[in-house]
Order: sequence, then C-alpha cells, then structure tokens
Amino acid sequence: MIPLSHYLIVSATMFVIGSVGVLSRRNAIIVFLSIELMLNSVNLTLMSFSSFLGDVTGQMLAFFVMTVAAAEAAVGLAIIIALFRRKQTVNLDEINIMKW
Amino acid sequence: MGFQISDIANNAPLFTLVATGLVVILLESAKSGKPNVSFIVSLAGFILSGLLAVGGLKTEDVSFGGMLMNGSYSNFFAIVFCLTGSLTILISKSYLERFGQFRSEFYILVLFAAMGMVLMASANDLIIIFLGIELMSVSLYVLAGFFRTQDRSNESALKYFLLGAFATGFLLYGIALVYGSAGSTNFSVIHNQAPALMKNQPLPDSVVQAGLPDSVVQAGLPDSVVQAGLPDSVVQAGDSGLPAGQAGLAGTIFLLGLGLVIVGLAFKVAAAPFHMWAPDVYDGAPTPATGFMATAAKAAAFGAFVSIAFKMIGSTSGTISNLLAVIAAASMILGNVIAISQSNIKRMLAYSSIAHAGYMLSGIAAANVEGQAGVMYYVAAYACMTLGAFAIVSILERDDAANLSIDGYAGLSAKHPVIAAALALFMFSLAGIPPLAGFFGKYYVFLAAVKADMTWLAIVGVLTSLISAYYYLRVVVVMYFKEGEAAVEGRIGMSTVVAIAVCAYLVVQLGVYP
Repeated sequence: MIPLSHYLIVSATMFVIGSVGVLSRRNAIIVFLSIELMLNSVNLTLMSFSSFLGDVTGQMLAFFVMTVAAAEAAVGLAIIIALFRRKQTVNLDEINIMKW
Repeated sequence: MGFQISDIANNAPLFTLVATGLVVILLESAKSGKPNVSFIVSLAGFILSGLLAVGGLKTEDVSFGGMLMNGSYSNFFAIVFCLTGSLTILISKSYLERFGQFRSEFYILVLFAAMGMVLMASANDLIIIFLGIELMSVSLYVLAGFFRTQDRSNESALKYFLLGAFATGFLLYGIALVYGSAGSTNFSVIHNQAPALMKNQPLPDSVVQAGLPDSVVQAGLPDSVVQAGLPDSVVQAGDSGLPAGQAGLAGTIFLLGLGLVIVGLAFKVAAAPFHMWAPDVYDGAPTPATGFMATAAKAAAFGAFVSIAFKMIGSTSGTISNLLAVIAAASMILGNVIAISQSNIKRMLAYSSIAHAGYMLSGIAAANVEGQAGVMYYVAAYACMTLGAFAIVSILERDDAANLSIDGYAGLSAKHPVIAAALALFMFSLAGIPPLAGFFGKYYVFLAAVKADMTWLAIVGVLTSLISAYYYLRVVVVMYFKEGEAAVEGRIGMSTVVAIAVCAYLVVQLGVYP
C-alpha cells in the first residue's frame, strides 16, 4: 500500500505549483486555472486523510469543495468575460485603472 | 443526531434570509423589472430576520448534529448583519437609480451574502465556515462588479475574485491539514485535541515564527511566506518517513493548518500583509456594495475568526497569540500611515478599514473574555460608523466616479449643513473621540490587550489612532473651513436619509450607553 506521506507530498507539490502559477502568470484565465489546481490539491489531501483516518468527513468536504469550485468558476468566468468585452484583453498587467 | 424541528426554530434568522432570497428570485422571474417590489420584500426580510435574532438571543443550543451553534453569539452577529444589510438596501436605492442600474439582482445578492455571513457566525464546524465564506464571497464578487458597463467596477470584481479565490485555497488547505491532524472538523472535538497536539510538536516555535509572522512583515506579501515557510516543512515531514498521525508530526501539521486558516481569514478581514486587494476593490465597487463589504463582510470574517480562536483553538496558545498580535500591529501601522496620503475618500476609508481590522485583531490576540466582548462591541460600532460614512459618500458621488476626492468636499457645510454634520460625527467616531461608539470600541480591545500582558500592542494601537485622527479630521476641516463647490448630485433619496439617521443615532447611542 502506498503510504500516506506520498499522497501528502504530491498534494503539497501541486499546491505549490498552483500558487507559483497564480503569482507568476499574467493571463487571468491561467491564473484562475492555477487556483483550481490549488483547490484540487486540497481535495487530494482531504481524500488521503479521509481514507487514512477511516472517516467520511473528508470525502464529504471534498464534494463541497468541488461544488463550490464550480460555482466560483461560473462567477469568475463571467467576470472575466464582462471585462474582456470592455477591454479586449485578459492580461492582468493591462487591467490597471486603479493603482494596484 | 438527525434532523429535528428545533433545528429550524433555532436558526430562524438564517432561514428567514434563505426564504426571502428565494422569494425575491421567484418574484423577479415571474414579474421581471419591478425592482421596487424586490426592494421592499428584501427590506422586510432583513427586518424580520433581525427581530427573530433578537428573540433568539437567550437560547443557547447546537443544531444540525453539532454543525451550527446558536445563541447570544451567533444571534448578536445575525443582528449586525441584518442591520447592515437593511441599511445597505436603503442606501442603494437612490444610488442605483441615479446610475440607471436599479435592478433586483442587487438585493438578491445582498440577501445571499448575508446568509453566508450568518452561517459563518453560527458555525461550529470548519465545513460550515468554508461554506459560509464562499457563499458570502461569491455574492460579493458579483456585487463588486455590479456595474458591468463600468471599467472600474469590472476591474475591482476581477481583482477581488482572483485574490479572494487564492485566499480560499489557503484557507481550504489549512482546513484539510487541521482535519488530517485532529481527525475531525468539529470545533468541540478539535478543541479537546488542541492542547495535546500543540504540546507534542517537534519544532513548534521555529515553524510558526520562521514561517509566518516575520517574513510576512518584512516581505509584505503572503506568497513568499507560503513558498518559504510552509510547503517545505510539509515535504520534509513527509520525507522523514514517519506515518502521519504520530504525535509529533500531527502537531506540526496541525500548526501549519492553523497558520494557513489564519492566513485565509486575515485575507477576508483585510489585515495587514494580506490587505493588497482592499483599496482597489473598495474604490471600484459601487459605493453601497463597498459599504456592505467594508462592514458586514468584515464583521462576518471576525465572527468566524473569533469562533475559531476561542471555540476551536481554545485558550489560544502563545505562538498563535503572538502571530495574531504581529498581524494586528502591522495592520494598525500600515493602514493608518498609508491612509494619510490618500486623496480619494473611498481609498482613505479602505485603508482606515485595514487599520480597524488591526484594532479588532488585537482583541482576538488578547485571547481573554474581555477581548471577545470587545471585538463584538467593536464590530457593531464599526459597522454603524463606516456604513454611515459610505452612505454620505454615495450621495455625493457623480456619474463619472469623480467627486470622490476629499478636496471636493470643501464647502459642504455651507450648502448641506446636516449632511456635513453627520459626516463629521462619523469621522469623529472613527477617530475614536469620546463619547462616541468608536472610542469605547478601541477602549475595550486595548483594555483586553493590556490584561493579556500585551501592553506593547495597546501602545501601538493608541499611537496609531493618534495618527488616524489626522486624516479623519482633515475631512472635517475641508468641509467646514474651506470654500468650495461641493454639491449633492440630484435629489437625495428619502431611504438614504433614513439610513444615515439610523447610523448616526446608533453611533451616539452605542457611545453614550455602552
């Protein structure tokens, strides 16, 4: 059986990749995808803990995370589209009317 | 366990908001384009829900299998949310009409956001905290971008969304780690486990100190923390080959999880190293929505923060307390100092809200009963005065989002003496001048900090509130002693006047009879 620590290392690595992506990419959609990667690494952590502890709470929470991520995606993409209609760009460096 | 009728009765304020939200959606779909009806129904829903919360102040109970905690604490916060929600609705009417955006969706979103806030304040489980925060945040992202034909509003929504979702990632990872180490997401269970977990960790101080507060303060960015401090140690912990669940490792994971949860919540309250979003979002969002975000959303985040600090972690351990104290001090200093240089009144209020988050956090860092009570009082006082200030800003704002500069308020006292007097009252209260509500709020949280042997924190607080008097009183000086052309755009809506009057009354009332 694969030990718990392996799952945790994988999910921690995914989480770091996601957060580095958020910080280094300038395209709003890629940034958003990186955030989704972070959320999914959390799901992996939750599932591995849940199976390790033999407790279903983690799996339940993972379902909630998926649902909420979907809702967030709907709202987020809508915001990005509204912005794109006005400015014809999703580059974060060009979205700067207000000083950052 | 299982579902009981009393669960619904205990959560009557929450369910009233849910029902009102759904009714308004149905009304809107059945008879589209009648925002006046939605306005009245949502206002009635908020008032009914607030009254039910007043009625529920006495009963202490848990419901839904220990997921929600009902009683004076949650109902107190529910009252604050219903108050700010109904005032926001009152302020928004004439503002939205003036901008040609008077639509029902605004009220639906405010109702759903308030629902999430009530959930956060009554949570007794990390899952509920997460769901409440998301329900609130997703509604607020849309509210920030409500003027979808305005570049500023769009930009503010995008920034809020990206940074908010980023912070949610940290919060969730923290929840996952806490769950993994404590074996449960329930506050009471974690509370029982916490002392053992905190003691058995192998490197307690170095993780929290090296990982979180110092580097945060120096770098000023949440990101570097995460890269430098957190995941590495997770990886190392995994490398050492210990099966998780063994005491030492579980303790480390628990502390990491708590640290990440605190980072996520500190983002939601806009505390210092995680405040970057606040000025831009507050600036670009429609003013009533900004007022709602700055007051109700902050109150809700503090509701969750206090539950986590007191009910989950319990007698907050030294490291967590110190971490919170450092965040509090950083927020107070940074918010107040940068606010001085702001010429736009919405940005000024945004930085002031960062500073106020610092004051409230010092009550939580104190980790005693006085601190908890002080934070609750402060939240109510802060909500009244800030919402009042935003109401007046919304009256004076013009179509092109101009006239937001503080200099534009020159001569206001000559043309509109009542409005100028009300704004002066809110500014005096924000600056903490007795006998107004803001003074007693600060007094209680600083008292709590002194009692917890954190005198240095109280001193930082008092010094920074002296700094804050400068920029608050500058607004008053400009209004009263400078000649100018300040003018109210169009007719002042009756509902806005009512809202300002209620805020002003409460600021005085809370101050005189604390």
